[in-house]
Amino acid sequence: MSLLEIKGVEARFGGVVALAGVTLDIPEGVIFGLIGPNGAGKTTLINVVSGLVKPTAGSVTFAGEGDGPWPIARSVSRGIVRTFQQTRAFLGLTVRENLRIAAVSSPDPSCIEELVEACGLGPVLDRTAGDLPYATLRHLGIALALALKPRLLLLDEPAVGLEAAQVERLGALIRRWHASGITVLLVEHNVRFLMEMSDRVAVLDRGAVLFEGTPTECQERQEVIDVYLGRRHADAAD
Amino acid sequence: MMLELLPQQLANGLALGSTYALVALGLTLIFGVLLIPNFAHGEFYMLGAFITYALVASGLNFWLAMTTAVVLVVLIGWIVDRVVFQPVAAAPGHGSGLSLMISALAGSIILQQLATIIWGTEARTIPAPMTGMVRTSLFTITYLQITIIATLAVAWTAVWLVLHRSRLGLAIRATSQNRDAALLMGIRTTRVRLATFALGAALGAVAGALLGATFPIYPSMGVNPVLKAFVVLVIGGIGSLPGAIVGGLVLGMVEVMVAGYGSSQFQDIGTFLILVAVLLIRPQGLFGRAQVER
Repeated sequence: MSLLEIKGVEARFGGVVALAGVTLDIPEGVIFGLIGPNGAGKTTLINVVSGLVKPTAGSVTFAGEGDGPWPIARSVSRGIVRTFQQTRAFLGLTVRENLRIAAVSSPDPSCIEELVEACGLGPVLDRTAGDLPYATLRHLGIALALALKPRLLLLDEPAVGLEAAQVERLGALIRRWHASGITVLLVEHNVRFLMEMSDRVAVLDRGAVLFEGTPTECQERQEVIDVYLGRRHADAAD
Repeated sequence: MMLELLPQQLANGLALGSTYALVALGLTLIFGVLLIPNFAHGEFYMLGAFITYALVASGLNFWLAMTTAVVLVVLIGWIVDRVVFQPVAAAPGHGSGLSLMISALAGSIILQQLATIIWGTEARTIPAPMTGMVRTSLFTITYLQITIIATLAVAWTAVWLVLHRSRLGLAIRATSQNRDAALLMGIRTTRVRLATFALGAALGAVAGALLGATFPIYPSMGVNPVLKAFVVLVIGGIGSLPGAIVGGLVLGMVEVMVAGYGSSQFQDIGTFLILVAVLLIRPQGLFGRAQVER
């Protein structure tokens, strides 16, 4: 059964078409990977689903409710929670204060303790978020999102800038919470990480869906290799 | 040169600086949280003075009049926010700083004109709620000056407690850092906005009522203090509450010293020399944090 149905979503900024009629079904309980070249519209799609950007056309159905997308606050209350490419943490507050904010909004504040342990935040609770090492800051951002007990977690390039061991730890963290019943929409340029994590994958190109299927099918499709994977592989070879 | 006058100048500087800090505290709160360069803050200050004046003239006790004025100015502040700022902030991109500044100037002019229609342009004075002074061998200070300094201490403590010891305060601080992230964390930003405007407008009104008992009041009386308060914000660091206090006190001291040991004609030159020096040496202000793009 689909948890999120995106139908014919268009987003235009002046003359620029960021999304040109995207239709996607994201089944409940999967990790759904979204890849594509820079400017393909991946972040815009997350912005639309989370309520940050109003689409110029199309609709979003979430858990059977079909009048979406909704403004940010209503999306959050329905269980649609996102992270940012940068960070969603409050940089001028301490880690403890960041988590206190999460506890106020969380439907189950008791999960925070577990998140502190899982994200390795225990030793840095009294440090200002803005002074944290990059990887720890990214984990704090994900902890804040998970604290809200999302049904759908939108992760916008969570692995960017992380070293291999940190990426591995991030993967374990996502899997652990996914196993508790969270559906994940993962946008990521680290193709190996995304393919390993995802149950299904869609490829966006110039605002439209180029392909949707399993990671194995995706890596074998010639048009995906031409548009995206070939370039990534060539970049990696350089 | 005339060192024996120094303690008296320091006392005067502390009192003047406290008034600047009171005005700047409300301004920096609204600017820091909502990113509104609220030039109409000077009119919250003016209305605090005039409403207190009108109520005292009708026979009310000064302190009751001031409290009522604070409540009314908070209501006016909410109306100003609803009519002047929210429509601009709701525009795509949350409204640019320039459009918010022009809206603030428009709000400021409208409130000044309304005050002129109601009370006229003639300067008035609020009867001082207390007279007398403390005399020491080094300086004298009036009870009213002491009250203003004490009010600053109480206001600062109250604002600090709200911001650092309450859920609402945590929400205010979170919203001030990242509005979209605050919304995504389920923070009710409308409530934060109302609370911030209420605190800011109340501080402006208190400053106006107390200063109105010291200096003449007139509809454009808020223009100069709000400009000084913006200078205080730059000196102390925009959005920083300790910065507003220290910046206000530094500015008050410098003005009094320049006027006392130089000439009162150079008072504003001293102010702007400090402003330029801070901008050159520490552009983020004394208590501001340099912004790092991540």
